Amino acid sequence: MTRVLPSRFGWLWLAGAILLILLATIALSLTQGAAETTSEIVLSIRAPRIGMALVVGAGLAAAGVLMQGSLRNPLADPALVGISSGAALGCVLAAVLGVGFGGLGSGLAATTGAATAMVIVVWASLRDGRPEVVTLLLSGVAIAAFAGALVSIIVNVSPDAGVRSLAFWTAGSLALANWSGVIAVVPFVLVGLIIAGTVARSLDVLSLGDRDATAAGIDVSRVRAWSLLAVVFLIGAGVAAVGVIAFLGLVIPHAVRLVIGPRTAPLLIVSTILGALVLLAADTLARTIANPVEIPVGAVTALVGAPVFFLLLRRTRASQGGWA
Amino acid sequence: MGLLAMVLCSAVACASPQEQPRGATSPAPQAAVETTAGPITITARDVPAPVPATVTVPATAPDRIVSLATGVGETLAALGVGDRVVGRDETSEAPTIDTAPVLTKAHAVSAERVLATAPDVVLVDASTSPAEAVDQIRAAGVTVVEIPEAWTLQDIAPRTRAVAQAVGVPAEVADTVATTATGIAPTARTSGDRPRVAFLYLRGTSAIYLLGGEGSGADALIDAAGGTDVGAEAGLGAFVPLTAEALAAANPDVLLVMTGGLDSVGGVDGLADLPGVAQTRAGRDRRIISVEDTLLLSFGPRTGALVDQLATALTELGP
Repeated sequence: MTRVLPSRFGWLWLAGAILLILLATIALSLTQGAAETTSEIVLSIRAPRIGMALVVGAGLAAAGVLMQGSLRNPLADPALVGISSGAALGCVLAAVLGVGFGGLGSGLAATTGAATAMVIVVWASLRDGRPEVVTLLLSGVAIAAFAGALVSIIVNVSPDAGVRSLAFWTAGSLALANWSGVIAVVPFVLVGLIIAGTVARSLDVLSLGDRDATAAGIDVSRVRAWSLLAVVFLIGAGVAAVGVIAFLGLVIPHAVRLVIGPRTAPLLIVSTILGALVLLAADTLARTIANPVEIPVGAVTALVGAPVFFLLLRRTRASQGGWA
Repeated sequence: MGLLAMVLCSAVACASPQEQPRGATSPAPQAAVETTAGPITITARDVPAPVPATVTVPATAPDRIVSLATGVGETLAALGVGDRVVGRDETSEAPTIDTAPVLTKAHAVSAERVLATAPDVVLVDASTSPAEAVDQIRAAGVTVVEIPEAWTLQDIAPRTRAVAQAVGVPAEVADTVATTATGIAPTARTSGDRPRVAFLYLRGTSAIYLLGGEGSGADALIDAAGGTDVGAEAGLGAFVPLTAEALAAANPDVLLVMTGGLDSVGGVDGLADLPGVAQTRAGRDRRIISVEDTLLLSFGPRTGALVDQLATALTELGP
């Protein structure tokens, strides 16, 4: 992979530019909407929604970087490989058990569900200790279908009106974000980012391949485990708060890699900022483009993400000499 | 279109007895709120089923009736043939039909269970699903009659007549029942003091809510009860997924909700806390009317009494 920016620290310019655009988008998003821009509307409706978009978007993009790097799979995305569905299942189970919805307990349950799905998917895709690209995706399809089926059964048979209503939440929406929801997600994403920072250098070495990385003194399984643990923290609570949003984690790291190259630390930083920007932009579109009607933000991200996934799929197959 | 159909279907779906809260949530006392008379809850007890008509049907009339059309069981009871109902869906409540078994599960018709009741006639409407099950019943040689749907008060008379005709009840009886249902004294409110009412179809704290507009059914009820439907006023369609801000900007005086939906957002307090709702006059002052799910949006014999209750509630809440 070539990189467009020449110098070793060129990525800082890009990060700065995206940060500026992000600030401008926040300002724009704060002043756009159906209602007049009063301090009450801004503080109680727009600001928490913007906050939620930033935190969840950052988490999804960073999770994409870690999954693609640690599994050495360009097609990895938390939603596509079923991790988000696992989080949704954990969250619904917690709601059935009376933990409630959208709070800290709900975030923990979602994180546990994501971790369970992650363990199963990764275990199923390992061959001789190394994860296979296609098996990972297909295992993800199976897990997503299974978790989705359980969610659908629980949601439909539950006598609790609140649980039944979760059927609609699984589509992904930031519409009813509030401050307490944002505050419940932030610590999870922070923990995920901190873990991500500690494994970034090892992931660079791992990109040489499992054998070379081992020769270079890296404990491959351990790096992989920590990376995937970070992923679980980065997306679990976000799913609990806003539902499943696909493709963001897939597309953002690829876009950034095209510009600044594959080095993990800068890739992680720039992707995190860009992920926040893109989900905020998508959500601002979702709530203003068809005003006063609300469009699910998951539809906006999938509309762009699905074609990109398709292109990546073809390119990856070509680079591997075709799949039998 | 598919989504709209699903939404409409689930709006009606909430009318199933199994989904409605037992004993209708009595609103928590709102001592802390300064202005208010609300929230007001309207339960099935407030709007009893009308006394069944005394009717003589011809010998050729069907003996065994299965009602799968939304709310039509109540119409059959009012027409005086409730004792002939041998099976029904979940959307009707009336003393004479309550012993008939429910033949639907989560609003899906089981053709097998319907045929097992050996019906002479099966009444369906556009929302009866799945269509394949209805086809199977028809293919088995059973008479299936499609009853027109009702979304306004004016629809009640033709719907009642269609039901009567299908089960051999004279048209005059149908007209008497329909007149009782719709013969409401128009509420004497001038446009100035008509409260602006938003019908919210709620489905949980983590999803967006839908605002009822023109053709939602609630618009007709609100209008008849002397209010102005906020969604219809804004020219919006039946059920619109509204942004929180658009609701805040519309600033309704009163919110109309279904009791089951209110439960799904954590009651009145949960509703008043939702982004968008909290910024409206209705949310701030807890000016909320909740109606038991089976009552709302099933136009039939009890609609007139329901409109009376709604009008009283709007008067109690004040302009």
